Amino acid sequence: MSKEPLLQVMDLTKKFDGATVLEDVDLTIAEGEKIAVIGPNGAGKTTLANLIIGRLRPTRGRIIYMGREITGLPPHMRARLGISYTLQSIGVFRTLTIRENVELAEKTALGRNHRREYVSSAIIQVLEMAGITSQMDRPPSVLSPGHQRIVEVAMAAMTMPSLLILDEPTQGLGEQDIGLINRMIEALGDKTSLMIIEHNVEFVLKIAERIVVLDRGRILTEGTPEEVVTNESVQRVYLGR
Amino acid sequence: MDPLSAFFLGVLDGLTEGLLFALVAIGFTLSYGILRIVNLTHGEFYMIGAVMTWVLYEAAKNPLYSLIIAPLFSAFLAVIIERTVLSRIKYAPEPTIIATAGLLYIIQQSTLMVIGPYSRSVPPPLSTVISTPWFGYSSYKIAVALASIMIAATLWIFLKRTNLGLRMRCVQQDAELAKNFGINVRKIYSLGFGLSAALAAAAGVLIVPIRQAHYLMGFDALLMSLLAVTIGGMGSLRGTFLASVMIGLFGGIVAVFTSPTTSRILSIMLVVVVVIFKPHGILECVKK
Amino acid sequence: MNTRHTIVSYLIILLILYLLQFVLPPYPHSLMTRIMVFAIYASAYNLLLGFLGMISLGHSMYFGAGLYVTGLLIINKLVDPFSAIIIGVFSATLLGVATAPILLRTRGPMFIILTLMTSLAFYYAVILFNNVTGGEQGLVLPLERLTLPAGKFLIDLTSPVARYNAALLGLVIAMSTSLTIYLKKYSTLLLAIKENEDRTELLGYDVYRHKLTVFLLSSTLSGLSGSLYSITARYIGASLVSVNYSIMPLLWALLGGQGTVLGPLVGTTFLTVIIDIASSYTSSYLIIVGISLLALVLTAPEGLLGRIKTRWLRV
Repeated sequence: MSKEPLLQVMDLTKKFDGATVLEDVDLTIAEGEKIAVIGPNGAGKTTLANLIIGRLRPTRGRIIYMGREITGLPPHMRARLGISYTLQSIGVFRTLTIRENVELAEKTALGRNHRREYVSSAIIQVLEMAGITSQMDRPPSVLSPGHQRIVEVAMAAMTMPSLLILDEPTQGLGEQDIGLINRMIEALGDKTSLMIIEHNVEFVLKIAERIVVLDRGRILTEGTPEEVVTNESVQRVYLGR
Repeated sequence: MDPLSAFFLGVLDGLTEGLLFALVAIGFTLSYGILRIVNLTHGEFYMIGAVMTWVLYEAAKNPLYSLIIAPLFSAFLAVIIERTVLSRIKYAPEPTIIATAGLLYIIQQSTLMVIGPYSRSVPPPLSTVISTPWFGYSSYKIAVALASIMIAATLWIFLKRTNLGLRMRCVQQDAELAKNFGINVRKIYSLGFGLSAALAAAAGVLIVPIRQAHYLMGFDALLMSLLAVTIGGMGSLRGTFLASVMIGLFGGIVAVFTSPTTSRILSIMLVVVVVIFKPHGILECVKK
Repeated sequence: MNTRHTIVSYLIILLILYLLQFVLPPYPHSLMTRIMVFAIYASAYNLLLGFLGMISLGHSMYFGAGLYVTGLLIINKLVDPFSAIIIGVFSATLLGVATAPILLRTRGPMFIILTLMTSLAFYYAVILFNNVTGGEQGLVLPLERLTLPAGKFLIDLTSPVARYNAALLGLVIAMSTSLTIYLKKYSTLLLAIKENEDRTELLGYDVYRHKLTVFLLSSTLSGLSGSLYSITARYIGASLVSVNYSIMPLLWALLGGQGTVLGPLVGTTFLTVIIDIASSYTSSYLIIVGISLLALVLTAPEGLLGRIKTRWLRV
């Protein structure tokens, strides 16, 4: 029983003024699948995410999501279709309160109500665990960067995405906070697909069912965590630092 | 005058005006390139140059000195502004626009208080007429065009060949990096801003015999700078210069067949149309 | 957030404004009318500045659309005053619709420059067609055209009472718009857009559409101000669409900036009174505009503007 994949990326290529940042990338993500994209700096991971979310237009290639071509759609339409993205830098709105931040995200989840109550309370629970819920009416600056990141992931999760893309969410975070991010991801349930871009290999090995390795704009290899970790070329290029 | 002669006249006038305003526009783009600010006061330095020329003429009957004195004075004033106001607001984009708008009014209205609302004229130092088969053309206007080219060329050489010019270009490229290389960025900011004001003032000096000095004339110079910079690319000296000449040509030809006001409107509309299709300027080379 | 507190203070201010007309001597009375008309403009301008952080130097265009369309319709005896106002306001909206695609695609300095340029084009156009518009000198609206039939009565729009209340009504409309945006929490989304358009878009919001909405509200209300100005001042002239009248609303909004709904009114009152006083001493009274702008920006370097870029104290 092969179900249609949630996301299909075909021949994706991106050039900037002659420099090829991404070339002939093919990628598939199934519904509920959790994959990781790893690779050295400059490999094109964030570019790939930006292309999927619509902040960049590809030089060549197509992106199919839920069976429809989204290659030409602007970012906000893709978000409405269920693709959520957190950027590398921390993206909470400093001029709003934490509550306003979360509500802003919640409002766009209209129409995806079927899991809303359940997921929403699970997310709030994680925020409670972090001790954030007691400060909902303060600006995000009262939180540590780690907790701000947690709020940001919570916001992305609140939009009830079908595909959540996290760009280096654990960067600079301590053990505890990483654990909370983990719980946040779990709160989404197994119907939500996840694409996580990371340098933190440990974290990735725990979460991902499949790992894609990028190097210099191309896919080096992909497979289960065990396969990738033991792969020689991966070790040479990336893991064996 | 037959249409063909009128056309040539328009071309010459437009070129002269375009070259002259190119000096102002280059000054504007210089302050954007180096300090990354939109300086709405810029037109007022042009006005100061013109007004000082008249004042010096009335006082000493020799306006040639003003070509040196006025730019120096403007530069001095500019440096004071940069040190007291701009650095205090840390060159932040929006506060700078508001502050320079305020300074625009202060300078403009102070001038009004001093010289009154009337246009003040100065006779041109060269009153000969160069005759061509079609019409006679003022040799002074030709001198102005040549002077503009010379000043622009001097600036170019200064930026490309001297040490100070090199340092300015470094700051323009990347102020942070320049600081790490030991360049005194604060000093370069002051010098750059002063230089941009001096350029505007020089243009003002040159134009008085043609156009007369008036306390509101800064607006026009500001508009021309904005037009040139929008098409030529913010921060691009070459682009701004070319754009200014082009706009001047266009305006000059249009003005001959319609009126100065129509020419202004059409120039603005031309720029807006260009912006729609080429948001980054015609040369696409923004010096980042 | 104290909704009731805000609405109550808003209603109190309006009541005070209404009652003022019965106690003010003639000159302050008409000054107040003018202040209120300008406060409409300031409120309109503040929609873009306060909620979206966009500095426009070209709003005189929309003010001017209302001013000239309404004024010329009345001068040329084409329609009754009421229709003239409606058409005038509508033309400001249309102008907003026409200019938005060009202006809203740009940000920061380029937006400021383009707004300045387009409004200058409008100004020059008014000068160019001065046989219709009266150019710099301007035109006066005829007394006899300024009556509004209302049932069996005839409202004389040139009477101080009518002018005052017309201006007040316009101000209520303008301030209610801001108040509604604020109370319906639409301001939260707008503040997010102001802080970071990118991220707001990634959350799924059509940022352009929201900017357009606020932009059109702003231009429409600016047109309302212009329309009412032509009627209450009985005058239209090119000086009213010069760059000065694009910079004034910026100053009005900044001066009073601390409030949400009431800030523009406060700023407008303060500056108009000062300029009124100054203009009796010198013809260079605009220097006060310059000094005020400079002082504002300096006394709170990142501060005042920083505060506008962050959030307002809830009045």
